[in-house]
Amino acid sequence: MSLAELLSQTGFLSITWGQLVMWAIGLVLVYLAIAKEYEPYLLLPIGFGAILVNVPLGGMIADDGLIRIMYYGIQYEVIPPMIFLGLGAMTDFGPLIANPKLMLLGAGAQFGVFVAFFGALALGFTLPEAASIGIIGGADGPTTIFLTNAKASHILGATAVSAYSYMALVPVIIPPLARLMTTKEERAMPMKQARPVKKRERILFPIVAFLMVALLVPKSAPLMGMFMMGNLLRESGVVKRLADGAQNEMMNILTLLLGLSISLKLTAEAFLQWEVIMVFALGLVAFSCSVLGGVMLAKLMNLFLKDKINPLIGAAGLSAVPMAARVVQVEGMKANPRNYLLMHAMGPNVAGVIGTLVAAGLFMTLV
Amino acid sequence: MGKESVLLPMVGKIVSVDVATGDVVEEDQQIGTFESMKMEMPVFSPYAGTVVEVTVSKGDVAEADQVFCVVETD
Repeated sequence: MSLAELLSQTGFLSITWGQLVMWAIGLVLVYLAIAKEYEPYLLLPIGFGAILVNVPLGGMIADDGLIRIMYYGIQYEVIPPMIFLGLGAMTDFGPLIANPKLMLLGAGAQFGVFVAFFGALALGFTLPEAASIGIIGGADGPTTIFLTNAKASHILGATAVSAYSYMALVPVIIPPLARLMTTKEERAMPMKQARPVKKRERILFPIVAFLMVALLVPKSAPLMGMFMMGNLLRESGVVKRLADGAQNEMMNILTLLLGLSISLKLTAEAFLQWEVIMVFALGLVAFSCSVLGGVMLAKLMNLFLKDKINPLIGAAGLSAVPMAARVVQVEGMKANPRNYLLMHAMGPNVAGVIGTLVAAGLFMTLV
Repeated sequence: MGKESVLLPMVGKIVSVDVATGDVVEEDQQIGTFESMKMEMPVFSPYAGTVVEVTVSKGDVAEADQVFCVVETD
């Protein structure tokens, strides 16, 4: 065998420019994950995955390739719903049960989903693509992946990376927008302590909420069903091991699989398209409009409510749980050191998750 | 003069108690820290006066509206 033949067996001669660009993008994601701790649990595996699938002759995405096999978990829509099972086991719906009006704020924060949807249509994206881009505004990774896989899987790399990147930027995106929309007096407004929630209410909530949402929007059943199932594990109090396993071990394994699987869509050929830039731009519009929508709806509700709500908590309708609620707590405290909005913000925050599931279900049905 | 209770604003775990019986506190002075949903938040005294009783200790899991300490106002 000649030296040239030997060299051709290695990857060096087969590297393309596109692959080098993807390495750079992967390294940036790995850097952001490690140095800035931007959503490290997802951006680290996604970033390394972007390098992994762009090694020539590695065969990671061949029909029997490792990443291709892992991706079946997304393709057959198993991993995202199972992640929701874990999320359900982590979620405390107490603040929402105590103050069901806050459900509206979770709906208001879907404003960005529809702005980005129509924006994407106007820019020439197809209906299924526009729906997948719009749902980024729900700030919910698994839902974005679920919907994009079903409708426009060729842009899954772009929508998933965009969703997780902006989620990492929630502490940067929310404050200026929320401040723009509110006065200092409004942000300083404390809220009345919510009533305590009974155990029976906590147990009935996931069952009733699932039936209502799944009957209204049947296509949301897989995500909503697993979300509520996970919550029932938690609130039932009788299957502590399952509830713990769902929110710890299972969640960790699935998060790893999800992050790595996404890299199937991060090959140079699939990812390096001009549309990706537009997906990122529209994703930012979607996030921003969702924050604005939530805050505006909170202000609108205050025109009718006896017990006023602090409009900041509308911003927590952006369902990045619990990051958005924490940002609201910090902003409220800046305006008034004795203002504790965290628990109040958790209501719209978890309602936002349900709102995004419903929006995704609508897109699944109508688009 | 009167005794006022400083209440915890929400359910959480006490991370630090920065005052002891006999300490003089100002209004809005930070008197402790608690953690809720993995986020640490300060507890402020809404009253100026002397701490006459501290009713929580570090590591306690406290309910909303539980008394943090009692302050005798000036």
